[in-house]
Amino acid sequence: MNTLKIDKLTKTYANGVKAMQNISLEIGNGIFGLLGPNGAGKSTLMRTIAGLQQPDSGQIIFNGADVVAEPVLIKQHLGYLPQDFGVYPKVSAYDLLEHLAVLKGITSAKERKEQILALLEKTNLYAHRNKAVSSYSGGMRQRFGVAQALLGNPHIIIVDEPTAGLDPEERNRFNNLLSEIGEQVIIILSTHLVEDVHNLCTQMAIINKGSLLAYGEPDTFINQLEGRIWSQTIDRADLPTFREQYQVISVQLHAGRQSIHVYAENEPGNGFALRQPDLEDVYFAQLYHTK
Amino acid sequence: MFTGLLKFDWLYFARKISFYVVLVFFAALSLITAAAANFPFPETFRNSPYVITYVTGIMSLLCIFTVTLLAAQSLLREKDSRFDLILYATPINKIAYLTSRMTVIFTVATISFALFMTGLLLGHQLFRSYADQYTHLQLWNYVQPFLLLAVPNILFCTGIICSIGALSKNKMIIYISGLFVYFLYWGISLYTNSPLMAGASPVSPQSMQLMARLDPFGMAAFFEQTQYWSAEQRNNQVLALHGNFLFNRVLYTCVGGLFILFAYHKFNFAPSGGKSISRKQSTTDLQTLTIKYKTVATRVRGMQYLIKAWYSYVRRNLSFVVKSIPFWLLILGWGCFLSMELYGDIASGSRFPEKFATSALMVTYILEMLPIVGLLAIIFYGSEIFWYSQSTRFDAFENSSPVPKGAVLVARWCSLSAVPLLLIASNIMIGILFQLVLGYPDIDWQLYLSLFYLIGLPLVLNSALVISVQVFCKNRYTGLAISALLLLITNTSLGGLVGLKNPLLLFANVYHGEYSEMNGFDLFLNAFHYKMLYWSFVAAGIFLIAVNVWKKPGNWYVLKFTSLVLLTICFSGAFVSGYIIADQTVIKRKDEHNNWKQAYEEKYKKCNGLPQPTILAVTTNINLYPENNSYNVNGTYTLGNKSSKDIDSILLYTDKDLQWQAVTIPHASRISNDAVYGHSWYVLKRPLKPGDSTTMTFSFSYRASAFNGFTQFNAILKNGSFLRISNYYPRFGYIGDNEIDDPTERHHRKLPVSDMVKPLDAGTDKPYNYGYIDLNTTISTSKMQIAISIGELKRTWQTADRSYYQYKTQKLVPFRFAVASAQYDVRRIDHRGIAIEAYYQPGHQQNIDRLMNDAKQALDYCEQSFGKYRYHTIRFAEISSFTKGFAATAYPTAFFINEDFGFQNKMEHDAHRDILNEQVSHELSHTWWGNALIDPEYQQGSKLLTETLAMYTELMLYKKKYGAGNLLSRVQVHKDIYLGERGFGSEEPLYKADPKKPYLCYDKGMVVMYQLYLLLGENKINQALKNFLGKYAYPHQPPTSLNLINELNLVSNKAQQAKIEELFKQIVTYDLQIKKATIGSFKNSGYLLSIDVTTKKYKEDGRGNKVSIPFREPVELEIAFEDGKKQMVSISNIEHPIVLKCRQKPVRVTVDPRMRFLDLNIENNEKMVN
Repeated sequence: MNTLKIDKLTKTYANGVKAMQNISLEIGNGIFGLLGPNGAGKSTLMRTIAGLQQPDSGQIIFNGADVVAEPVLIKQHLGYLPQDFGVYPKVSAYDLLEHLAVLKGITSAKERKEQILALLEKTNLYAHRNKAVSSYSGGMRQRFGVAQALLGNPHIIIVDEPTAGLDPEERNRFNNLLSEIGEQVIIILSTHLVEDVHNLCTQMAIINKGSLLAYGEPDTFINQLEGRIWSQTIDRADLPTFREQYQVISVQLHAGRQSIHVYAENEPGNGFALRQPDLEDVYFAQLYHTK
Repeated sequence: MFTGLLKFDWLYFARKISFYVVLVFFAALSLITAAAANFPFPETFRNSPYVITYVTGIMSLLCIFTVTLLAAQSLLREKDSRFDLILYATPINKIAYLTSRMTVIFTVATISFALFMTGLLLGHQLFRSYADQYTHLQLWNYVQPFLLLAVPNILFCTGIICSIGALSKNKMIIYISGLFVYFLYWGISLYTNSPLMAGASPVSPQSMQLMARLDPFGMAAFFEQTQYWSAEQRNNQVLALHGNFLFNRVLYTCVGGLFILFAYHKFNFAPSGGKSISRKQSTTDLQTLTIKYKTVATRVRGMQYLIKAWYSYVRRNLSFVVKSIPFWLLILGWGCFLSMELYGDIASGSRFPEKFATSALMVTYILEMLPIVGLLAIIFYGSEIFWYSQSTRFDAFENSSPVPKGAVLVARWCSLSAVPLLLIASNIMIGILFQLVLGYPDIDWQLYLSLFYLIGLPLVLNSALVISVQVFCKNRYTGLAISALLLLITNTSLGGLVGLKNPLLLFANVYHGEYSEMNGFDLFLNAFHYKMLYWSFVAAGIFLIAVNVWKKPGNWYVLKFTSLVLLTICFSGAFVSGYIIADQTVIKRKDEHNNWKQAYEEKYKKCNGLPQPTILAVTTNINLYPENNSYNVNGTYTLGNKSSKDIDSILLYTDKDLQWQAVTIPHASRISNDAVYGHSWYVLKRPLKPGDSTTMTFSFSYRASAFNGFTQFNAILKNGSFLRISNYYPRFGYIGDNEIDDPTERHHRKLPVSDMVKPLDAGTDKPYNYGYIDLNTTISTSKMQIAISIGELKRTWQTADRSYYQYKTQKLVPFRFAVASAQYDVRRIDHRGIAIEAYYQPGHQQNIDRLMNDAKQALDYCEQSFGKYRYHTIRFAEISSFTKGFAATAYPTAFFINEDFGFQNKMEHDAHRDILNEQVSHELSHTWWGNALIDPEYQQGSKLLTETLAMYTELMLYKKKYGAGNLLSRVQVHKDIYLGERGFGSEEPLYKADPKKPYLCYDKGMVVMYQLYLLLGENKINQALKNFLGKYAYPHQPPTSLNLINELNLVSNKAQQAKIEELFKQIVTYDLQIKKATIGSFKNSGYLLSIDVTTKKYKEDGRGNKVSIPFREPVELEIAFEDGKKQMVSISNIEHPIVLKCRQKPVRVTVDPRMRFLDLNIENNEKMVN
């Protein structure tokens, strides 16, 4: 069992942006979902865990080792897929994986080859293994990113919005892959897709503006909202009025009309119907309450 | 839209700190140039239009650098920031886009250069170390070269580099195009006799003209227009915008413009590298594998892991470098350039014959030329490799691996180091290819491989610096600019320009010494070893700090124990090796030597002319130790009083650069010793009466320093030593050689005009004291070497580890003797009772037969024409090319020839430029003209009697061997040297020529003697010379130039005497020109040739002023006919036009085809007939 303990992590950038404020988490094996809007500080948190940047203060303990002081201790067991990455031009997938496999410490050439081929197959890139990754389509490139994250013997895998740009089929395949691996290791998955978190994650956290808003199991969160989320389809023009009167946590389009979800301890009346809350409501409710 | 874009592009630069850094750089550079730079233009003001134009032209080369950097930043900034697709999708039109970009780049480059010009002007006004070196301020002198040279050059660079950049959209290609523009300039300037590239041969007017038109920076045209300019012109005249200069400026402005038009035509708003995106295939892949993914244990500690990771990085980086097109452009482009230069050098110029393609020649060339390219390559690739991972955004993957950052940095350094090593390897291949193709397959592998140490290691250490600078700067372009500046200042002549001389500051310079086939790199390699040791420690230290900064930028100074130990080792190593270097190196301050000379003159000049003993006989032992570059000497002088007064005190001079062990003068006591100037006073207990004699003994030693080199003509080498050793023997009285002889320098120091060169009319002592000696020399050297000196070889013997040679002169000789020592092969022949011997480097035997035959021919000719050879031996010895200052030198019985001149040339291919024949004839003839026969006093025109007559003998022997038809081309070479060099100094008529001006006594002398030969014929001249010898050779009173002229007059008629007067006593030049040559038919049986000839004759004053004087002499016209025949016509009265009747159809007319007149421009002497 791997453990990752994050304690009071704080980071303020030179331009004044508070990317992390007192974030504390405890994560074990399984997929941990990290939800938050753009600019919430997800990537900063993940980069900090990966040892790629230093926090201003706070501690990260991975399997008992202090990662802030010695980032290499986590890097020895790390698979990392950043949100945005490039590749060396004109170099084949096989050669790039070979390079990264060496860097990750697979010293035996035979083992290296076997694992790379297995990963290429698993990510459905085997047929393209000798083509330059720089010529891959977005999805293929993303799968290459996954393959490299799985090289060696990762105990913790950090994936930053991995399914952005993937088509539904690829996204499914990717999610299956994650859940397959996630039993043995820690996977930290950051995403905007609430649905993915729901499907994959045993634990999750919601962060915004550098602060941790909520942290626990998705079902627990959903249960907490039971009987408190109401919805109604309204005219576009009425939205400001509704916003004044109710706690509108989200507005969605439904067949061209606006469907609003409101949070209320008691029945709000006025045509609202109770709805079975989902994780998205959890997410929006959290964001709403921290406005 | 255009103005909007322009403003936007302008703000891009205006907001950048680097823009202001460039401005500050140019301003600083201009002030330094104005204050500190020295130029080799005698009597030319530091702010003269010539110097300003020269500086502007040279510095405008920097615009290649500026424009390249600006283009790389500005043109690709959308691509770099991946904004290109958005920009290209806007309705922006390409003319506005391209024009605004280029306009801004051009403007920024022009502004920075204008700042340079302003700084130069201010510098000239503010920092005047010597007020008399400046003329009054003329604004136009700055504006004109800026407008005519700098602005078109910037336009050209902008056109070519920006167009290539806009089309390729590739940063490396932008750099490479900048590099190529630089190569283009460099290649052309090598062919143009530019003072920047001092060449041994003058270039022909045709190639000069071609290069003047082709040099993209206009410098060749500048040199062409000003090649014969006098100091007066340089100080007052600005470059005229006409002729080839005009052509050149228009041409390259158009070329720049055409490039821009081409770029406009071809440019499109499409992202570069239209890559084919491989589409994903069906989800069920046909190919399946059965390998199941499972985790693999990793090992991320230990050496094995580090080495593997390091290797993987190096492999990736190198594969990026090697697979890039620019790298191959660099390797191939540079290869072509080097090949051209090598071929040019092997083929030689108009003066020297083709050289053998030896490994030594190839390596010498590579050593000289490759370093700057290697430096530029590591500067550019330094930033490419360092930022490769980050610029491709692959760094996130790599950085999340546990590889220590230090290992990554080491890998980057190693990858960068491989770039110069690959360059060296490719150049070695070119060298070997040349040797094989030119049929000289004797390949010296060890020598070739030494390049990896001599160039490779320094560049590897420089690579460490470049990588470290990138770490410290944290910004690609700042890093690039700073490393470029650092490397160029510490590794090129730019450093010298700003006064950087200390070897401890010149970062890991490549080996600057030379290579000789006789003695290899010799002792200088020792100094290089020490410097490499020092710089390895320094580079390692800097690199270690860089690793720490990179690991933890915030607190890099907190060091781990191992880092601390390593840094301590680096520091101590650098300290110890640096101490040794600093301790051994003597850094001469700028004026130190001249200050010493001035103080010497001021202190001792009063002793000039004091009666002092004359050396009558020298018996000496010279012990040479070639293996450790040292020698020691002991000797005995017999001294006599040849003056008419008693001598009661002796002023002894012993060279301060030697170690003096003992000097003993019997019955004399030393009363003072001035170690700074090497003088001691001795008082004799009993005065030396006129005619009396005494003795003295002495001993001294010398050891050459690997760090400081040799004193001139004191090259004690491992093999091939040559020492003008008598220069270092004790002497008496005031030593005039120690005076400053540069008139300008004397003027600055307010010293009176030197009187060391005696005026022609000063008269000679009677009887004249020649100071000749009887010389008995015993030389010992290492066992395998042969020692050569002057006189007859009396005895040789060997001990366990030494060889001994005893030489003794049969006749009295001047106090001037030399020694050579090397492992020689020897060839001897007996020619009419005279032994002719050649001592040469084993392997240099190809031309020895020719040398022997040339010696026989010269000996026969001289004996027949001038008189009997006085000795029994003629000894030619080859000496190392480490000795500089002459191609060959003559002593009684002994002649020393530099290995570079004649031994390694293909003579059989070059009947028209047989340097060996020239040298052998010239040097041997010094037995009559110079040495111990005609030995004039050191005075005005004295070299006319030695060097000019030797040039004449050389010319006649060349005629004997190759025929009269081959003379003109030889003489033209000397005429060009004379006309070119006199512009950089003043000129006197030949009979009063300063002996220190070789372009007068050698080069003009040759032209004058050739014209005299056309005037009088060989027999009359030889008759006069024989009479001259009879009257003035030792032991008669020595002659002056007037005596020679007198002898020539005695064999001439009135008209010839007038011409002799003109040739020797005046400076007269001509400009003959054929304006027009046309034909008409004449009575059906022939042609009427009508020729329009103009003739101009000038009398010059030697300071650049000339007046036209009437031309009244007959001129020769050569008419070439349709059938190839030629006819010479002499015309006494020049009419306009000259009309001649011809039977054949004339096709070409040449005026003065034999060069009877010293014509300034022979380009216009020939005309095709219309």
